[in-house]
Amino acid sequence: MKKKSLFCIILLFVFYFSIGNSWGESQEISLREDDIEHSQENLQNGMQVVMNLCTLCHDLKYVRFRDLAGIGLSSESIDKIRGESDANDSILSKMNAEQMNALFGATTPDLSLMVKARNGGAQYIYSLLLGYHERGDGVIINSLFPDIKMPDVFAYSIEKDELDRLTLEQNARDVAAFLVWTADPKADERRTLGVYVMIYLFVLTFMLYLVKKKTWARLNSNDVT
Amino acid sequence: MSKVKKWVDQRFPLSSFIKHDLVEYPTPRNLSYWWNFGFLAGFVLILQLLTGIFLAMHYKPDALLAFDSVDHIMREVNYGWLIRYMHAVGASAFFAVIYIHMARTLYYGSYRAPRELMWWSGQALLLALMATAFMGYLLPWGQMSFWGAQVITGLFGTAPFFGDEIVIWLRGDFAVGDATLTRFFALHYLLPFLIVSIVVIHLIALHHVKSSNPSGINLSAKNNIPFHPYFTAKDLFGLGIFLIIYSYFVFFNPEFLILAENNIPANPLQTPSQIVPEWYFLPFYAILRSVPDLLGGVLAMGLSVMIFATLPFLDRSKIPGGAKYRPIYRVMFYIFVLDVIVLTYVGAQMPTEFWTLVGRIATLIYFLTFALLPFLSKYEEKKLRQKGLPEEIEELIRCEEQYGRGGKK
Ligand code: HEC
Repeated sequence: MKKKSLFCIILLFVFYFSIGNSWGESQEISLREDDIEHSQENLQNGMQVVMNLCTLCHDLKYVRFRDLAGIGLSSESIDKIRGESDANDSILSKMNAEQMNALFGATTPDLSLMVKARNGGAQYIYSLLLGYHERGDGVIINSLFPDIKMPDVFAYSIEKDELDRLTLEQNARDVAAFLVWTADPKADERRTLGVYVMIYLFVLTFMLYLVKKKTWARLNSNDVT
Repeated sequence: MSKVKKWVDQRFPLSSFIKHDLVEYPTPRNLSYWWNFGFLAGFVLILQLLTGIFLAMHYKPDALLAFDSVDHIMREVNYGWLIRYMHAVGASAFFAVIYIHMARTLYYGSYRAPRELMWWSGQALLLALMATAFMGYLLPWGQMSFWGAQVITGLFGTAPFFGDEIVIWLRGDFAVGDATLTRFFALHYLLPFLIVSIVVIHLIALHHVKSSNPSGINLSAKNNIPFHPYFTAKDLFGLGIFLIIYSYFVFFNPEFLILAENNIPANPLQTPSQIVPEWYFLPFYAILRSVPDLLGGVLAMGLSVMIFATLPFLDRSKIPGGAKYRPIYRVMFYIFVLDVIVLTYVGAQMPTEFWTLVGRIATLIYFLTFALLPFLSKYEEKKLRQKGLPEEIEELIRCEEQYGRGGKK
């Protein structure tokens, strides 16, 4: 009976994981599977690229300048990055929605939650940035999102130099890593706390198991139907 | 201390309540771990109430502010991320626990006399829980929140004569908007307290009829044991296991059941490519989509939830005990569970020709299980009694026939 129940529970888990995955896969996109690293170096490099390039057009309205301390920036470096803005200000683009619309015929989505807002998450961002290529007739399109109104901001499709291409690919990975952080800056804290909670719960549950066993041992084992 | 106790006891039956209903409360000693889930449901209810109250302190039920205020909770409120993820994962945990609790009741036929009122108060709890979860899902004001509410409230438009009026009345506007959000928030805060009061009724009924047990027979006094310490120990161990699974999701996979679309702020001008409800509504959603006619689909969906209430009438077998002693019922139980799992899966798929077909077959099986139950249960009883039941059981059945169902020996 116990084995059976355990089996049922495991089966349910497998089932719901497969549902979760099928939701993720429902947008048939081929993502580039390269490993995205999340070291502080990667995050800071990604931050540089995002600040210099992406914020020309995109907001990161849920991130404030002072939050950047979370990826290991000193307050001096933050001061340098924020320029005139207050440390408590959100990171916003200089352009507003109307200007963007006039220029590109689309409003630019906010980037702070982007990783959580697309199936595929970080891989999606990374693959999108590197998805640009030149078609036979010289038109540049994105294989992931053919109708995208965003230009090839990395100029990856026309970059011929192998070394420069590698740098761009690294940058794209780091941008994705940085956007993972902006979408969920509390992730490290959450996982660390989670490990302690889990250890605590395992010990507690094991002790409760012993208590239960000991309590029930007091009953003489008369047969019950 | 004892003076205070005496003072209170002269005015309020506190000690006798604790003694009768918590400590000495006689409980069948053969309850398996499947009987833990009622306690777990109560625990999750309290968890949801507490986390919900703290979320409400920071949340803003305003279409312009709602999405941002959730993000504010996630980033700036102290441990706001923890409270929100506990609440979000808690909603799914609540349904998981309730569905298992229901499956246990089905397997052991615990809805039969004299526990019909427990079953019906449970049905009321299920409805209230569904309403609460549905309204709660609108509050983050993401794309799926918005469009889910838009679609589901729109279903009421199929009602004859007053359809459009009902939809406007529900939404407070022609489309889901600020008015809808505000009223859903008010009701989402109110309904849990209604749930608490139905739980009290559920428990009063329980303590009157006492727990069912795997054998299905009222056990003799010597096989009942005091709730404390035996079942406090057993329930707490079960709670530990539950908390381990729950915490895994809260800390390591909190967005597992949050769709990517719901991290995009609601946009009334842009319909998502596929609108899917939360996993716990998927079986009913699949039934809705399986019926070609929309009004028919809505009725089928409503029926698929409410039909559980008819079980005490549909199951006409007098054979005591669970599916273990009832071969036909057992097969029906497993087919039904499997069928619900298939429906859940179908509900999450794009409605292609293939999945629509699978959904239709599964819908048919779902309702057939209920429709056939009166006949199969009677047939099964006849067969079993022909083959010969143990004398005690025959006597029990005769006894019940004489003194009414649930009559004590
Ligand atoms: C020249 C302006 C511009 C710059 C610079 C820019 N973007 Fe965009 N981006 C856009 C526009 C316009 C859209 C809207 C595209 C659409 O909806 O078709 C967009 C859309 C996006 C999307 C959403 C795609 C989707 O699935 O809907 C992502 C992700 C994105 N940009 C990432 C970035 C990143 C990362 C950077 C920095 C490396 C960046 N963008 C730099 C203009 C820009």
